[in-house]
Amino acid sequence: MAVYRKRNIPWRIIDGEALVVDPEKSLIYPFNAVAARVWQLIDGAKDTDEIAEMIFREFEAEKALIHADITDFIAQLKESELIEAR
Amino acid sequence: MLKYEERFSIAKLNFCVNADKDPPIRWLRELKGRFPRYSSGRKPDIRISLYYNIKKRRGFKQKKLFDTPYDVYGRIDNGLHVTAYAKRNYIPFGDILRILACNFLIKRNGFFLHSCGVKIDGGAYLFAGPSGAGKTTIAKLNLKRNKILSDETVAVVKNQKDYNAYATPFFGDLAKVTSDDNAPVKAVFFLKQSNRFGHKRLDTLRAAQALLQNIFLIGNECKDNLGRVFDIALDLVKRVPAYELGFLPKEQIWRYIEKEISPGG
Repeated sequence: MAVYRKRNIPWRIIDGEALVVDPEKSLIYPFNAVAARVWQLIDGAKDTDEIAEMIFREFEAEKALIHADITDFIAQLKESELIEAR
Repeated sequence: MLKYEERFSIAKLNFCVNADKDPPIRWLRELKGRFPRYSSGRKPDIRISLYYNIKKRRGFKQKKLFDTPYDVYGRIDNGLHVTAYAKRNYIPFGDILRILACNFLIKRNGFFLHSCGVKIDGGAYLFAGPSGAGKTTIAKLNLKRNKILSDETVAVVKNQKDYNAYATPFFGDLAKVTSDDNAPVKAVFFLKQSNRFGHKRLDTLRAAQALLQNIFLIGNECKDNLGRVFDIALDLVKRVPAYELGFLPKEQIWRYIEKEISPGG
C-alpha cells in the first residue's frame, strides 16, 4: 500500500534535515537527513518497500538494516498520524 | 450601536474596540494613560465588537472562537471585523485581545513570542521560554541598565530589511517597568535553567524548532496559517543568531552575555 503525508501537516527541509509540525497535537518533529529523505519520498505513489529500496540506493548501509529501519520509521509516522496508507 | 469605543495600536496594528460594557475600555484607557505609544488616531485595521453576558443572540451563528477557558463566541468577517459574545459579565480583555491580535499579526508577517524583550544599544534581545523558564528573572536582573519591552510577550514583525520587536501590553510581573518601545531584533536566546552559565549557538533547524515552540498560536485561524508562521520563523533564524542559554538567576548573567556572546554575532 502506498503511503502519503497528511495534507494539513506543514513541513520544511532545512539544510538537508526536516522540521514537521503537527498542528492538532502542537508537536514539532525534527528529522535527520535520512528521515527527511524518507519524509520527502512519502508522496502517495510509493509503498514502504519502494521507499526503503530508494534509501538503500542513496545512503550507504546494509540493505536488511535499512529495510528494517525504514519499516519501523514509517510505522511510527502512521502511529503518530502524520501519514496514512491507501 | 455599542455604547463604548476606544482606539489603540499594538505593533503597528490599529484596533478599534466597541463594547456594551466598560471593563475593556477602562483597561485600554489605563494602558494608554501609562503608555501613550499604544494610542492611535489612525483608521483601524481591525474592529472588535464585544458584547458581554449574552446567552443567545438570534439570527447569529455562534461559534466558539478559541479554545480557552472563557466562553467567547462570535465570528471574524473578512479577517478584519471580529464580533465576539462573552457568556459572562466579565472576561479578561487582555487575554481576548492577545488571542485576536496573534491571528492578525500573522497576516502582517509577524507573531507573538513568549519571551522577555530587552532593548540594548538600539537593538532588541529576546529571551524566550515557557512559563517558569526565567523570563521575568532575566528582565529583573537588567532593570537598572536597559529598557524592558516585555517580560512575557513580545511582538516580532518583519520589516523591509529586518525584524522588529515591539513591546506589548501583555505583561508578566513587570507591568510597571516595561516600556512601549521597539527595536530591530539582534539575537534570540532560548532559556534553559542550569547550575552554571553556558550558551550554544543553534543551527537553523534547531533554532526554528525552538522558535516555533515559543510562538503563540491560538485559535483556528492560527492553525490554518501555520505554514506562513513556519516561513516567518525560518526567515528570522536565518537572519538573526539564536542561542540556547543556560543560566543561574544571578546578576552576572548579563556580564556573561556581554563578555562571552558578542552582540548580534
